[in-house]
Amino acid sequence: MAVALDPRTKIFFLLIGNLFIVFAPTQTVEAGFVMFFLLVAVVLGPALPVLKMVGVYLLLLFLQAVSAVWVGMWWGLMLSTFSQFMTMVLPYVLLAVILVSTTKVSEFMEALYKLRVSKKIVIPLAVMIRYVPVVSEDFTMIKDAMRMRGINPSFLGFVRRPLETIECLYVPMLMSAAKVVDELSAAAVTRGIENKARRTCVVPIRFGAVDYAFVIFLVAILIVEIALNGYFVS
Amino acid sequence: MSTIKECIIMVEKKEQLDVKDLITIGVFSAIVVVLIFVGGVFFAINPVLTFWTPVGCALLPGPVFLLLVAKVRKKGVITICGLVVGLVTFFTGMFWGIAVGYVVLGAVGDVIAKSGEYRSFARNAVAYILFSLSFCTSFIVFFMNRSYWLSSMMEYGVDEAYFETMVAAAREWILPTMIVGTVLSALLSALVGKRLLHKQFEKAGIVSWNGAPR
Repeated sequence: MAVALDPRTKIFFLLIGNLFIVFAPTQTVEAGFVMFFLLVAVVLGPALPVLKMVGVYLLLLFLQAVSAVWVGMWWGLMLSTFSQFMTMVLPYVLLAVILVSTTKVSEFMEALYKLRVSKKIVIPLAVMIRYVPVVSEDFTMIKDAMRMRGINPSFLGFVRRPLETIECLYVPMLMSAAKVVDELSAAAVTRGIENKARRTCVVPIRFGAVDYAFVIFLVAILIVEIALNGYFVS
Repeated sequence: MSTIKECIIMVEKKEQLDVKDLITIGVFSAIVVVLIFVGGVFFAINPVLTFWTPVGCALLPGPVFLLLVAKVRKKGVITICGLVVGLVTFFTGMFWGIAVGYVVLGAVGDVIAKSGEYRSFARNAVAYILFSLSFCTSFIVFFMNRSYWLSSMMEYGVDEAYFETMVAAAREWILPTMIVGTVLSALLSALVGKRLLHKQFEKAGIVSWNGAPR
């Protein structure tokens, strides 16, 4: 049951979602907003990555509650601060993941062009968003390859032979990045990215009734949240 | 006549960022972002070590940054890289000062690197050091106006136990030490990057750079 929203609405959702979390008076309210984000993700389309992240979030909340008991011990403090930091950052990352996983790159670019963002920012941004997962994938493969060659990719190996380990990590990563650049730009130029004419998109991008309703709904939530903030802070 | 004009247009175009340059910036910024997070996360989750986050963040991306500059070498590379990285840090829930730092210090670094035509190692390294210092902005605000910083972080949902430990760890000497530590760590990273560039990427033909200014 995927509802197609205008990518601009999704970008607005990302921004206003950030504000929701910033203004959330208690952690309970914050967790409530996370559930709301999950609902939006389910309505928007493929929600599996978001579902996984919400699972991790709940686990961390649980961990935080449990570790509060042992906060006197050093490891209890470590555990508690770790879970606190993660629960603090996770809702923001969640919002970004929702935007990225439900929007095709071409639609995202079209939306940014319609918002009159310069090409010099849109292209690097779109490429970066798609390339971040590839980096971590490459990283695990490089580590496997290092192990096969008898080089320890862990911290211990780094201490023992710092320069060799650094070379073995950076060189393949940057070489593959340089190759990806060549391939991607060849593909992009072939598809006419340098064309001066106005860009078009197969999927029609326009603000529909659903978009207006959703935007008004989000703004209303934010106003209510800020108005009620006084009641929570005692 | 017209061919000469076309040639002039082509030369002028070379000075501007083309699509390939923009894609290069995108791919390398992605690696920079991942390395910043990998380097910083172990420090950020610990209230005692949190002040050393910028040092950790500065340690890894140096070679990537230098290779990006060596590959593109046109006005605006570092500015755009800083802008993109700043956007990511903003949207992953970091303190807003960090995002501002990346945008502003990235632009300043760009001017410095441009003055050496992006070919002088020293100036590129200075640009990288400035770029890395962006992460300190959060803590500079902390030391300048502690109560504002605390209340703003409270809004981000950080717990009080974290702060108590953190404030206890915040001695007066820590801010200068942190900045010096970040500069040193960024410098080390840049030196490793220089070595890698010379040893590996020149041979492979990824960059053609002999380090000396034109």
